[in-house]
Amino acid sequence: MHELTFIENILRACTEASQQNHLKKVTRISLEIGKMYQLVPDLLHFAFKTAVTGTLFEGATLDIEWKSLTGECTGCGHSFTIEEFVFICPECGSFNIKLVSGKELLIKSIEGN
Amino acid sequence: MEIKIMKNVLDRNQDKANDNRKLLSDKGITMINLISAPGSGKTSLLEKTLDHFGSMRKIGIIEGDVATDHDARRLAIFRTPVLQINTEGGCHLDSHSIDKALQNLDLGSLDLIFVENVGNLVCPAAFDLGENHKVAIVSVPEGDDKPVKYPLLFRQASAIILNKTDLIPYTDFRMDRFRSYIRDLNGSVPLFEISCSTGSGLEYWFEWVKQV
Repeated sequence: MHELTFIENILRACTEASQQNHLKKVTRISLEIGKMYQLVPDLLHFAFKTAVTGTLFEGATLDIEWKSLTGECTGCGHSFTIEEFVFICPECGSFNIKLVSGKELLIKSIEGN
Repeated sequence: MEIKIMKNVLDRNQDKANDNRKLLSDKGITMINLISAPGSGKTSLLEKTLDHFGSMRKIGIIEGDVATDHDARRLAIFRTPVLQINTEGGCHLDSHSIDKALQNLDLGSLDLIFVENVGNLVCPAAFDLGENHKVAIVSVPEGDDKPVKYPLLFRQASAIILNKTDLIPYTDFRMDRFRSYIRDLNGSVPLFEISCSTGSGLEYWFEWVKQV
């Protein structure tokens, strides 16, 4: 499942950070995920719960801040919310849009003891 | 206690992709990552491309499949170096498997590498291999709304290919709708409407390959 691949990568990085900081138990993992990836929240949480069974992450809260798509027109400089994946400037009609938010895949922090 | 990490989820893949990109650049090799659903025509497109370019370009192929070397065998008759990667369940190639593949190709004898990714419109879009270009392939029987269902891939593609245009009369595929989805998502990307079966439209694809 697509979401499981992401969870595996998240847990690899968090395991490394836990070991470096001598954590015995992790209680929270905080993420920022952009909506461009179309990860399904329920599936991501399900994959997480499944993957952490029997590990120091078992029972931890997966705290996700979902980032909406916003873009900036490289033609006229207009900033706008991208709706329905339409990458066209509503001001000037240009196709040349820079994605400013919505493609984040950030592991912000972990909490534990 | 809170520990700040601030790392990208796919850092490990990205770091190796960056290494791959540098190696290819140092060797003067362009790499194109072909991504599509299973059965859209990636291998057929490569057959036509290899047949056209012959010895005009020094092409190598990295072939990704879950199992078998069927596709690699189809391409081997063109006397081009083909390296098969079997992911054995993995649904996409990643930069580490490309790194291994590059170590097993004679890079000094190549100027263009095509990666035929595992048939999948989802995961391959998120995993940078170190390529210069992602090319998305979709075929007529899959439906005209494919782009809007898989926006990440179609947004990132440097070129989009619609294959099997010869089947349009037998489906309810609407070209105007398809083109408008592409325009919304990635309006400045070249769109090649082709049929590998009949050869229609391939000359424009070959022209694009020549100039990358």
